[in-house]
Amino acid sequence: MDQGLVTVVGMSIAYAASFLGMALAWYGWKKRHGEEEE
Amino acid sequence: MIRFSALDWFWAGAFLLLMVGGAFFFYRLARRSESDFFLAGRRLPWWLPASSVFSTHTATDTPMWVTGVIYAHGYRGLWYTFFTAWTAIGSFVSARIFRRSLAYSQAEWQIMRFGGMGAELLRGWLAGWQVFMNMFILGWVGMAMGKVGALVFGWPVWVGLVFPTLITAAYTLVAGYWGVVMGDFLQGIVAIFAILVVSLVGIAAVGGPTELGGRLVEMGEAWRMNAFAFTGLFSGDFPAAWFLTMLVIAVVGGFGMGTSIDWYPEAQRIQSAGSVRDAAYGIWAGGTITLIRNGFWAASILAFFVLAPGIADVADYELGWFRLGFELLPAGLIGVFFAAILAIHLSTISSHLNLGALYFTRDLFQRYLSPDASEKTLVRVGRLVTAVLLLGSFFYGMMMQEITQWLIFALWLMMAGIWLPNILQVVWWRFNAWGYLSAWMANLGVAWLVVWILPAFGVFPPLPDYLQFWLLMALGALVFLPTTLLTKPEEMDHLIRYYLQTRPLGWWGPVHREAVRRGLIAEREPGAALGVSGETGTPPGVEGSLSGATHATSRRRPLIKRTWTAAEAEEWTREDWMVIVLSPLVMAFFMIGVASLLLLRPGGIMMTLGAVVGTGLIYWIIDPKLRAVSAEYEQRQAAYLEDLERGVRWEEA
Repeated sequence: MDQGLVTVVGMSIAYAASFLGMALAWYGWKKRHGEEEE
Repeated sequence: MIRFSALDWFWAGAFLLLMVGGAFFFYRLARRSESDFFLAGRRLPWWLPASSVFSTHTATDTPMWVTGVIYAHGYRGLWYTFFTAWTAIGSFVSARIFRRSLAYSQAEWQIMRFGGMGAELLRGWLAGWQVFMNMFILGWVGMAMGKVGALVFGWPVWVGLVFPTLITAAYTLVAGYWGVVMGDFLQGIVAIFAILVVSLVGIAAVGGPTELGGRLVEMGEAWRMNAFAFTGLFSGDFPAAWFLTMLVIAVVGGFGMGTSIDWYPEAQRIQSAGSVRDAAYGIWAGGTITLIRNGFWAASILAFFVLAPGIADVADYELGWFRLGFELLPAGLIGVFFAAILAIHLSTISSHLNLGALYFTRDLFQRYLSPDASEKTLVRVGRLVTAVLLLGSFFYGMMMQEITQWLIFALWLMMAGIWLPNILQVVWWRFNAWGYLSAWMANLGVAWLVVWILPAFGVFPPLPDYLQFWLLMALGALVFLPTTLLTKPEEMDHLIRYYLQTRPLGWWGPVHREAVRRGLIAEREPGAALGVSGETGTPPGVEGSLSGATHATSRRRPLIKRTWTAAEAEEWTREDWMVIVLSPLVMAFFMIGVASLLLLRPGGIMMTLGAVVGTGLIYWIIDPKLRAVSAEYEQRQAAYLEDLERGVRWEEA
């Protein structure tokens, strides 16, 4: 596999993990504030 | 392939048993609580975090890439390794601030520094990033071990990648951070011994320091002994502009929190220290020993260059230090050397397994999925995630080819866009969560543009890495500065709470004044930041961290104050700035001084002695202040921790 491509794939996975973490935080935040409103 | 004698196998086995067995003793401590599993109960004396910083930063891949840069660039290549010098200022600034926050991790710190949804999104972002980064580091370190296994025993690469890591996982799963930090201490001793012996044996193999210097002169390679042999300001393969860029990144970066691959392991070690003072000394000592280690390595790699000049392939010469050890040491000592390689591998693997598990367990699982999870459940989840990270690292390790390329990529590019925001979040009250989050996101797109896409389409030629850094930083600033200024500042109540707990350095004037106006702290003495004492009094009704501690005084302040009340010590004063200036110089003197001393170069002894005296001076200047800060803060820590745990479970504070 081309080294440049490996690097791009690596970075993409790293950022995908960050987006996943952020999505989880969004879920937690909405859940928490949804409960408060109820 | 290397031939092992029975004595070699004995020593390798004995050391492995000691290093791994020692860690298992802490099984009972690790299962007591989440704090024990991830922070060893926050009670460690400074020398344990120090040895852990050193051991974690000495991995199987480290001798490879240090060998790579020294073989290619001579002693000036030492500046590649100087990124560790963020600890020079970081020990006395960001470590102090972070230890006082009591956050388990850099991600958790985000919700203390910032507020609202932006802070939560940042915490999730950083936690996701760190879970991945730890797996990524495990992969590249594991791959380096695979290469060593292939060199020594002729094993297929996957064998060295998988089996030593599995051994590490066993005690990390069982004993958590207790096992990591105690293992790091034992492994650090073995590693230091091997580094000293192999370096000295390598130099001796050439005929000693004088002969080594003479041979380099004969070969027309004398410049390799000069750490300042730059090829011009901007020209050549090693311009001074690159060196200055690295100096700024490393040294000024110490004011901030977080680089792409550093700081995060240190954050765990800072919080595991028993006090602010232990945290500061732990990080400083760990960073300094790491730089001294580089000096030893560099001298031995010059010896390797003389013994085997003209190797063109990076993958061949980056194994130089390992070759010195395996080819020059006598039977018996080869086993010890192999044990040391296992030691440096185990210490790094264990740290990153536990750290990755911390980010998932504390920052994602407990915060967003199961806030009411019991301590027992959290420890179980920590162990499960450790195993998952292990499997992920095998997959990632098999994808990697050139370790040096990966590391340099990580150092330069992944931190370029967030280097300045990492500092701003510490020193500037107005910097907000949206600004920091936008910096992270912009970093990826801008890095792709500058490094691959635009050069590929011929918009501009591929740039040298130091120019890439400044360009990436400037382009990132075009995103995060407007984002910060166009969005609201953090809530003042939130900022005051953070300010009172951590007392950050920098531009915090509006927050300080509001805290004074509310009667939470006393007005700062005129000229306090420069350490000039003036007439001042405590406003009526003042409570909190400065209560009853600031009194009018007519005594003239000494140049270096050595008697502090806790309240006085909370301020950033002239003594802090003296240490901030002195500390990077001491670290640079140690690294270059030791490397020069080993070749009996002029100035080597003077620089090393200067560094030793400088270390004493730093201690003499800052220790009374750190003691005063620590004593006062530790008294309030229990209440702060209670607040922190309530916050993690989304209860009203």
